[in-house]
Amino acid sequence: MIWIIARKEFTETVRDGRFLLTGFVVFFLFISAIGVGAIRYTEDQAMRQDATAEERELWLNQGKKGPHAAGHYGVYAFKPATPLAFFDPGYNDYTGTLQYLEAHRENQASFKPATDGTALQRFGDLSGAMVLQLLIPLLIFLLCFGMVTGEREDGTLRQLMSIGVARSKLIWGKAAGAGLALSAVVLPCVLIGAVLAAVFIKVDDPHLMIGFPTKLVVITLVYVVFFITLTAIALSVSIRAKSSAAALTTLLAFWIVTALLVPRIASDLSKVIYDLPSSFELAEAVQKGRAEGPHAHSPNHPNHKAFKKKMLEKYNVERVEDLPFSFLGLALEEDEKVGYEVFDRTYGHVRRTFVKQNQLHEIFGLLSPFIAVKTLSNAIAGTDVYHSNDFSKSAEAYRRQMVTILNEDIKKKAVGMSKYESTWGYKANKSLWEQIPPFDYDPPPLATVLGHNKLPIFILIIWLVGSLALLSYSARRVKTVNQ
Amino acid sequence: MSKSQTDKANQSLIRAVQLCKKYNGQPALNSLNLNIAPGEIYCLLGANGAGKSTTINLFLDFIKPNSGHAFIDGMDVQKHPIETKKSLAYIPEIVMLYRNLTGIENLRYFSTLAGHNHYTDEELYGFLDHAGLQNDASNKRVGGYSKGMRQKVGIAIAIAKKAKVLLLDEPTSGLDPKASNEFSELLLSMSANGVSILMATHDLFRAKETGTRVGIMKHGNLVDDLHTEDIGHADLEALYLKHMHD
Repeated sequence: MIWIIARKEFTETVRDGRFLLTGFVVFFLFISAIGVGAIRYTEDQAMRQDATAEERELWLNQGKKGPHAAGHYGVYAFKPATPLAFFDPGYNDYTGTLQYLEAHRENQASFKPATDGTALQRFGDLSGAMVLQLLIPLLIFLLCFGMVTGEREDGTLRQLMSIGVARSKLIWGKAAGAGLALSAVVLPCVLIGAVLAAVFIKVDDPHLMIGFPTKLVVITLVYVVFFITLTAIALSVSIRAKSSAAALTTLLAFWIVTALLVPRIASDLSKVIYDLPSSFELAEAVQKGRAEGPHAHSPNHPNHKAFKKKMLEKYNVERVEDLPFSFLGLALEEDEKVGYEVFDRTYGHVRRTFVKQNQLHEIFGLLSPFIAVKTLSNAIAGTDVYHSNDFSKSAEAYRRQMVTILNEDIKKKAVGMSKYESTWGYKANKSLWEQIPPFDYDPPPLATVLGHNKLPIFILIIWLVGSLALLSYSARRVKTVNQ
Repeated sequence: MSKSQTDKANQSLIRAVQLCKKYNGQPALNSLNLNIAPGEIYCLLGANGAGKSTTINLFLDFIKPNSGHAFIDGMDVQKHPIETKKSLAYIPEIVMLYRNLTGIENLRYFSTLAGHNHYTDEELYGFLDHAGLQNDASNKRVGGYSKGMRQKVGIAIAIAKKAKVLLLDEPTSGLDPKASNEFSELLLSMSANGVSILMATHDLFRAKETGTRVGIMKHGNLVDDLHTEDIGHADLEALYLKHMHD
């Protein structure tokens, strides 16, 4: 019986035309968003690959120079975009795409595409994920708002009830019918979108494709759960509303509040509650911490002199030339060690604050399923702040490995040299540069991503169960006539 | 209650016992007792707001009584909301159908939901034809139907449902005399097959012509209950007006 009701709802919806027209607009927006996203992703990916290869080339062929000079020369680490970023760019435009890795300094990711965004780019901002997160819900509301109120107003509900149809069967049938009608729009979107993506996007890096099929399945599941939740809410409203107009107004208000207002308030509030230090404060804190180091480049600084004295005493020698290691290497190493601590403390605080902000933001998901879905979609697509932090951490770990190799080389190879000699006299060549492997970042696997997102997963499940419970409760109380 | 009365009540397909309904404290129906036997056509007369539609809505379980019971085919409609509807068909003033579906699609949908999913297309066209709707009209969307055509689909639904009880709420008001007459013919043939019919109407002429019994309602009370064979046209009108003027 549910199937017969569903089929009738589907037939009616399709014949009505309004839904198909709206659905076509949504379809067009989704396909163009996916197309633009795929082209942009492919261009960015090609640029990243070229730049990475060029960067490696430059590093290897930088010629003979002091290892520390090479450390200052540095390398650029490019953040690879995960394949699903074409669908959900998330925070990619705001979190920086490359990180400059050099001696002495932990740089933050820079070159945020949003910084030089033009008005034209706003069109490109419409991603496939946004269509699914904001427009499809509107489509669901337009589809469902009159499903019960309309039948009550038209009197067909009386006719149905006089036939002896169980109320809950009628409502589940309508829910299934809404699902069918929605699938008629969403399935072509997804299928044609997938074909477009497959044609445009060539991912040459197999590392990026790790876990891709499972991620695709999970992200699909997230959206299916989201759509079911919204359908259940819309139908419950249609059952309870006095009129179709009231149902539509209620649902539009729900959309404005939970899709636009609550996420805005959530992010503003989490920023106010967990305040981030300004970049000036950060720079000051780093400088202050670094000042306590041995000042490897300033021989007249008291710290430098004290470190020198300590080393000479430790190894019981008179001159730096008599040390078993190059003094420059030791000083640089010590300087980096002080730096690591300062960076871990300063930027660690920033990263922890980001995590707290995110957690508070996620709790607001209890008020809006849109937040939970956006969080999960970003996370699985690999375009959230967590991924960006993970990339930064990985790049910093690579930087530390790089400067360690360089400083170790100075320590060993510049033994017996004065500080001036070791700085300007000792030169390393390509064999040292080759010892430093190319930077290769693997995005975290799905299990890690899900582990970080237990809260939004839990919240989304609460929304699903809650909305279905509301629907099943309301379904048993469908009023045949307004009383 | 005498034995013969009890037997009669037990046979009744439509039965009300001390049925009361109040809206905001105002009685809309007052202790209605009614027994309608198989084959009887009972016409409820009365001004607007006299309680005719309330009575029918109570039998349909669309509204709940404040006290008393309504029975269809021996079952309390409140306790058996789904089962009682298996044996009844309801035709309101305007039969409400899905405007984007054709007549035949509406009929198929309603009969399938009523549990008759076994009808072939020929049978369904046959029901519509029997109800007086031509085949070419059956394939058009209901959105363009006249009231008479809608009522015919309503009849076809009732026929296809093999209903034992018909609840009609002013089904012929606004129909032209020919359509109204055809409708009455259909009711008579159904009643000949043992169907019990309860019809709220303003049409005294039709009530006398078609009905086997007539009840006059006023302010929620059934003030008169008589057999049409015992009364002439003029007398019925006089009686009705007398009640209205009291």
